[in-house]
Amino acid sequence: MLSWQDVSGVGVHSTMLHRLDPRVKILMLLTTGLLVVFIDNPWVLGGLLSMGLTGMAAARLEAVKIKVVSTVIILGLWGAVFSQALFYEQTPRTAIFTLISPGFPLLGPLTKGLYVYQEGMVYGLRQGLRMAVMTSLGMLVCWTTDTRLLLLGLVRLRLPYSLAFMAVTAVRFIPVLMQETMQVMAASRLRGGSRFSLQVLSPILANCLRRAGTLAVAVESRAFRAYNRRVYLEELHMAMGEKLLLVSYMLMATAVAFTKISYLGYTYGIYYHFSLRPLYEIARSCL
Amino acid sequence: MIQIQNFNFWYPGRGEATLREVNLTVKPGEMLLLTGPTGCGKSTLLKCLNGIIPHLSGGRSMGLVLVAGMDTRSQTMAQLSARVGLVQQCPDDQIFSTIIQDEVVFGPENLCLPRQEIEKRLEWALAAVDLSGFQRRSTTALSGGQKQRLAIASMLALRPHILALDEPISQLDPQGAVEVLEIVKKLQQNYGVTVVMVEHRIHEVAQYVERVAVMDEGRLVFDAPVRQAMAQAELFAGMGLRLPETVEISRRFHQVGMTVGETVTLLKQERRKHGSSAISGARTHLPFFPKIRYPVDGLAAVEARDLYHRYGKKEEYTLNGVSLRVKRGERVAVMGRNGAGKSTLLSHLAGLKAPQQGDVRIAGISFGGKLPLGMVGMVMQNPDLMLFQTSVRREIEFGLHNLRLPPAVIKERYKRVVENFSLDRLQDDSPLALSRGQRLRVAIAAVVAMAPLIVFLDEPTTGQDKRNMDGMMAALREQVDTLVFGTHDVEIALAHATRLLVLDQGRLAADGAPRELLADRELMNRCGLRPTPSWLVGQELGLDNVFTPQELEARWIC
Repeated sequence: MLSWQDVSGVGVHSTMLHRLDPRVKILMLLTTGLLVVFIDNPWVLGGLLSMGLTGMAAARLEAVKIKVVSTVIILGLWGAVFSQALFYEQTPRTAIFTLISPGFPLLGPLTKGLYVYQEGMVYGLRQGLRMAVMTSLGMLVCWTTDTRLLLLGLVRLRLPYSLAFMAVTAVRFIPVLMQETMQVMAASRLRGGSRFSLQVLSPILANCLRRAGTLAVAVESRAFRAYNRRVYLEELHMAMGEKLLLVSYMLMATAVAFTKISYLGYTYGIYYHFSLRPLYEIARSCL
Repeated sequence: MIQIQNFNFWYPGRGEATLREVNLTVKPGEMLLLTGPTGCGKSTLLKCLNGIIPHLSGGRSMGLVLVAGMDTRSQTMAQLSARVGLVQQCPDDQIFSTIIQDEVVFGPENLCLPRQEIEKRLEWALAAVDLSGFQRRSTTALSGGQKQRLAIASMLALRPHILALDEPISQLDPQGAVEVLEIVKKLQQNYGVTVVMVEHRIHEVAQYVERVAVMDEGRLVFDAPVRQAMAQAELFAGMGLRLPETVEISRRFHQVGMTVGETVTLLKQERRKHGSSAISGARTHLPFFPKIRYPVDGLAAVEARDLYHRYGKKEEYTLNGVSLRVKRGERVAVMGRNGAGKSTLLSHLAGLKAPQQGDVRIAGISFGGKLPLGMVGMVMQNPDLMLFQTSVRREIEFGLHNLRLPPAVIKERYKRVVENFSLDRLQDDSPLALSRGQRLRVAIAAVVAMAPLIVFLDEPTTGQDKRNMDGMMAALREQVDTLVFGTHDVEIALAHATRLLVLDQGRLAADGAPRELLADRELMNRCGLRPTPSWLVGQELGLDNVFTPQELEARWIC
């Protein structure tokens, strides 16, 4: 059976991706988040997804982790494609398959016919791929970056320490919370109750509050937020190669965004310049 | 170092004061044990020392708390944290970093100390708690004792003059507890740290402290040097607190023996005074000690075959080929150090976990991961996780309704458990609003009401005072046919178990009569257990099969 321990934690390997400065990973992830908004071409989105999956292989992640992320991606893609294929509302749309014809007794008149639309499938695939890209890259960052380095990276990217600390500490306590949830559900089941009853929430919440109180005392007893700033024993050092990688990636993303925005300006009749025609062509065919 | 003068404190929204007219002085370098029954206000008093009260808690206070001559109300939390280090009960709840180094330097980093100073403090703090060289080790890979030592180190890195410890050993196995107590003693003796320790487990702590203060209902009712305090056995007994066995033994001679060595010397002196004939007479007249016997009908209540379990594919096996058979009517104690696999074994036996490998049969039936409703009961280490109804009445009736019993049976069973667990006056109260001992009673009553064939208890005595422990175990012995309980408490195992299972790294290291196994010194050491002081005294005196002060008294004294 799959356990939390199998899919959490950074793992034992130390590949180049593990050693990459956390700021580079976080910024590249955020940049990709913006990038996928500008890309509609399923092939390019598929390329970005394969980049995430290749990263996982390069990071030598355990098979169980790759299995988990693949399952999430496949289910997400299937859900997005299936729902959009059936309920795509925009026109033009091409029905490629009829699930329920309008003449079908009872359901036909009720649904006015249920069809699988080609454009809906493509639209769903696009949305699904966007989510899949972010899932694969997000998990890759989590599975190759120690929580403490993630905290340091976030702080060095100017996220207030209190916020970064809260976010990372919440992650630290997820396994404990899960374990307690299982115990409460087990206690309920042993007495004939349902494991999914809302009643099980009260001991979980009560325990969370108690733990939050303990943690608050623990951090406040150690001069938490004693000053507006704090120092760090360990510092992050971004190597020249890492800087180049980050800058190149961000420049590439900026170029993609500029190309797409120019194209959208042209198609909506907002702005046109003949010198941008090669960009329009790239955007039309690739983005 | 600490002066508390006429101090009163009210938590927000509470009419009654939690602390009432408390006066206490602690000298520099002193080690004070602050004890009292559950809910007496001792943890609250501890939080006054580092300013958690009143700076974070809210509420209302009256009187003075002076630390190093300064009023805690006029000091910031940061200033106070450099003077008083507070270590809490559960190490897992207060450690938030993934590696040891980060946990220890958290405080110095917050104080914006220079890098060299932080490094110096890191090394010093880890050396002081015997964790040198562990800087990069994961905090989750530590044992219970090591985690609590880490919690202490993370406070020491702030170089406090005072260590305030709130039940630091309550969650630890006996060896882990000794590790922590010896480190604290070393800090006091070698570094002059003033220690204020709140603890129920007086019997384990008393030999390390110099002074004992006792609280009851928010008041300081007793304060004396440890030997003087130990002479007041009635005071502690009246509050449901357990004294060291050596003290109980030596009380007979109106003296206080704090250690096994002292007690042995004392008993030998008494022997010389009274002559050897009286002693040998006692031996011949009291050759046999009644063992607790229960009707054992031979049928298996639960049976496990070749159980294997691990929590992750990279993890070590938590259960490594465990096979056992518990007969109906048996009372089985499961012991072993923290992480030995006790809780995992109990979860498997109760049917809460499906075996990854092997088989569990309850009353001869294999349930294959399905829960045998009504056949087994389980009381978890944290009873709060078992309370999810809005009143005690609903909590107890919940399982009974789910068993679809006739209303008359439900009424009868409800009435019986409410009486047996003294819950009459709490029937309409919310379970989560009760005291710790009361919550445990409600959780057990809800399980027992279902009249299960077998009840499993996962370290039910953790954090409970002796009165609560004895009451609970007595009620269980009365009402439960077959009982399997995990515990670290050798005395509880001796008093209530007919059979003992000892786990070591997921394997069944020993299975037999408690008195037989608890006399095996090598087994005890290997599995993180500690023999009772009475047994140690008995060994020194050449007496076998002596485990309790009463037995020692019967064997040694006429």
